[in-house]
Amino acid sequence: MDKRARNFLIGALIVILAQGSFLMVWILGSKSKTAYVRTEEVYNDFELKKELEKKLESTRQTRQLLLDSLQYRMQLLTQRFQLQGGKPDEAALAQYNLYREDFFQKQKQFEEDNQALASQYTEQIWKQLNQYVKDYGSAQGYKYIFGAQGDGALMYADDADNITAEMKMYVNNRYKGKE
Amino acid sequence: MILLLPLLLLVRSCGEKQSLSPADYVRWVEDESNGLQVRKRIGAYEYTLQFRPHDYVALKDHGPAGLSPALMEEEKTAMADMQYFTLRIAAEDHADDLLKYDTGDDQDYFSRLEYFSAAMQNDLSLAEGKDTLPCLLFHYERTYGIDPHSTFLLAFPKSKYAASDKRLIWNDRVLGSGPVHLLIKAENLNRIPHLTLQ
Repeated sequence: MDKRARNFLIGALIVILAQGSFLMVWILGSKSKTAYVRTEEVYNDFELKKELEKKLESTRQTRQLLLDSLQYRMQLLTQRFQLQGGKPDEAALAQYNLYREDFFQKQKQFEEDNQALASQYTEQIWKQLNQYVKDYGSAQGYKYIFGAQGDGALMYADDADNITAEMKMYVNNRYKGKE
Repeated sequence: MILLLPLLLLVRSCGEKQSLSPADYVRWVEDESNGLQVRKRIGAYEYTLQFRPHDYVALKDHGPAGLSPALMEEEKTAMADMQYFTLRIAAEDHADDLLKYDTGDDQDYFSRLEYFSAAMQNDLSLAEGKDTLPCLLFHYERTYGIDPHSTFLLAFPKSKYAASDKRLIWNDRVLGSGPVHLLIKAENLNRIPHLTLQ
């Protein structure tokens, strides 16, 4: 083989190898990028969830204080009845019934309001969390991000694909506007 | 020493702020990549916060032709105690008034209008360093469906932590997003160019 032919063969080999490498990188790069997060962990460590949980607890406590004072008002009246020998007059009895009705009405109303507030907050938390997970997936080029909840929906995943820690950091930064 | 000179010049030029003409200045402030305008999507809603430096507010109010250096100084003195922002909210794929988006009936529409017109001011604050500042000036710009964005002009008192990040917090009560945080980073505030008036 003369020198020219040998150089040509080497050149062709280099071109083929370069094209092969390029193809390999392209195939690997275009392969679906997937990962998973532990949903409960991300949810529980989400700043908004912590903030709204505190807010809900404070509202519940304020309402409970009001209920306690209404109950105390009833107790005082009951004690007065006992001092009167357990025979209250009609006006006092009417007053007691009014207090009792007020107490049960408020109790029912607060229970409903607490439930409504809790579900409103939960909805807000998921709305923001879903958005930030979507933003993360889109920014990082993921095709799928699965949520592992320990309920069997995701039966097995390699630990290397667990992005829970990164996700927690991202959603909290995104919530605070840092990302 | 000779080798260090270009390096020193480079470092110095990096620290220097640009000087821009009024048109370029306005473009710079409104360019999202410069960080004075930040955007966030939550569900169907998109929130855009624009920080408005004093020079920018004066330029927008008077136009470059009507603004002499003396008038600019006067305007800046009048604004010195406040900091200005614009908050814009739009709904995805909705070309009409935001007031009408996802509202069940007239009552929903009017309660949203009432909230946007006044009560919303109490749910807005600006966190800066250790300060949480109340919204002192608030104006809801109604466009009656011409613009799908709802625009709110906001002003907060100036804080002693002027070199810190500015985080707008809106405790949303009508759109179901919950607290919305939008952050203007201090590093971007420090890069605001100088305005050169002709």
